[in-house]
Amino acid sequence: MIEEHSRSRLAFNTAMRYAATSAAALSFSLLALIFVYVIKEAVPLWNPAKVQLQSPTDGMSAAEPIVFNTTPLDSVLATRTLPAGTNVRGEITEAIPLGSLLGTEWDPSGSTPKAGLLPLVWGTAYIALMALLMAIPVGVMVALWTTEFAPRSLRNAFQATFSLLASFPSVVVGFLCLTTVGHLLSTMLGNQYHANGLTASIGLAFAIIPTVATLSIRAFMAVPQELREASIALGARPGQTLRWVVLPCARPGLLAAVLLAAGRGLGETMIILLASGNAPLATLNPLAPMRTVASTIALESGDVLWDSPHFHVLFLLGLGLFLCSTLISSFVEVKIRPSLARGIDG
Amino acid sequence: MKTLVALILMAALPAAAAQFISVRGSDTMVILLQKLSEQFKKRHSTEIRVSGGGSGFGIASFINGTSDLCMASRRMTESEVRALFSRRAMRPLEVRVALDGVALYVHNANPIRSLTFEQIRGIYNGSIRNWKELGGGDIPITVYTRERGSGSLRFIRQMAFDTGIMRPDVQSLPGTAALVQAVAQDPNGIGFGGIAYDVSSARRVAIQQHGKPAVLPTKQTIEDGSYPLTRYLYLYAPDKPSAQMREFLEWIISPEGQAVVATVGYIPLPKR
Repeated sequence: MIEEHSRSRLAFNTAMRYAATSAAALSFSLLALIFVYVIKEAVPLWNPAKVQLQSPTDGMSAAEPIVFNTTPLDSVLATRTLPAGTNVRGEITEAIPLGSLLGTEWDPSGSTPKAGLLPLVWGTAYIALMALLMAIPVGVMVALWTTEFAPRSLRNAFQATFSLLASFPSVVVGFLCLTTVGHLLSTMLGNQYHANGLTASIGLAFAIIPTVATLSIRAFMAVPQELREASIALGARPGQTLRWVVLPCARPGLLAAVLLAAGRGLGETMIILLASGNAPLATLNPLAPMRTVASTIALESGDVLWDSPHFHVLFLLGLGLFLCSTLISSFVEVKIRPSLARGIDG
Repeated sequence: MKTLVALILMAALPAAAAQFISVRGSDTMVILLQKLSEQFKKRHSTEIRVSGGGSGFGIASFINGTSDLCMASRRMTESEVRALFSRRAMRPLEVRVALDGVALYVHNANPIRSLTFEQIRGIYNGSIRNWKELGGGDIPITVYTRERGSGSLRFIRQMAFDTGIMRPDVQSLPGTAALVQAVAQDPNGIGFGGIAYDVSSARRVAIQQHGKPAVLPTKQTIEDGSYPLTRYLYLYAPDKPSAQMREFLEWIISPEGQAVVATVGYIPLPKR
């Protein structure tokens, strides 16, 4: 009886192990497939296949729609539009000159397409950096207070609140930024643009403070209590203990918090899409509108023609973001995790 | 292997559920098409699924084959028609659904009452940068636009700016509602969108052309075409539509369908 029970349990364990292994293999291969797909779709930018526009064989023009219904206004309105065949924009099959990738003009579907990545990369980095400068001090301070000074009962409540804040929908943050923060900033500073880099980075800071705070709380909590006690036993004041014992011990954990928050900042889309003004400008002025890589993909992937040069440029942008976030998280995993595990000597 | 199965499942699901007509495109037209399909369904039991995204998005998904019909607040361009022919070996069937006008919006505090096409071009290409140059106060102009997939943007470019490029610091916003809202909060601002957006602190500007009197966008001036930025709202269908599609399109331009157009606040097509 007992033997049978343990045998079925063994079978169950084996089955679970296989299920877990195949789930892991599946997610890993999906990740690899996404990576390969993104690269595959970005590469044709360098080697554009000539998009052949066919002509119909039945003698009718392929360039004109077939009219279903007409109205008496047709003749009036027809005199106003430019004659058929003059494309103002949307020459969708025009190849993008590779030299323009390093330029400062972003207009990938214009009649002379230019895909200057500089303003997008600049906007992404600038907004993320401003947001980090706001979020790191606030997040770390909050974490320090929560772990070192708050009563134990409040500590748990704080942690729960931050986990909740971390899942706040970013579209709501973005909309609030556009309607209130942007308006407030321009009344205070008298700046011309309501939606600008600073407005977006304030929203982004709001979104990443919970990330910084929860990870920093974890870093501070990982510092062994014995170390604090030893320091105090040696006669150090609480402030000195904090400065010379707790902070150095928590440093790898704090660095991980900052890097992961940076990764989140580079990839955040909705807040920035709504609050940054989306003009591709590479400018030092934080109150000018800016456009980021992620919001460009979100804004333009909808109306791009598949397999057009513009389509491939968007994949190149996606590849860049993908590599950036992979680099950051693998740096955290490879360089910082081991010292976190060792604890004290990190 | 599992990946393969998952991929096949993902590909098969939409195909199994494809017993409806999907319509995508112009954000301006989403409410209109929702009302039309609601009324149509009461009599004809054909389900029509409507989603927005902008005219460019709708036309692209029509060409890419991911929607059955598309809504557009501008005509398809020549290269789009050619791309459709190359991808799907069909020409678009162009259905006029309703009339609309593109209005230029400014803040209520702005004293400007009318603009010419030349002035609009100057504002958008950056050669006019202060309201003082147009007879307003001495404040810089903040220019708002829609994203590049917008049919309204394409239309106003064709009508007023030709092939000129826009000043680089133009603020682009997703959707007409967001744009008009931004102008309503910004005394320096100017933007454009369909005429159906009413915001208490933004105002529509009249358009003046070649010595003719300035014309405000109203129901009358759009119906008779005297407002210069009058346009059709279009639906595009395959050149050989299914029986259900054809029934829907015929119904939209029938008196019954046009009555629905009027109840939603759009301007019905002029009668022959």
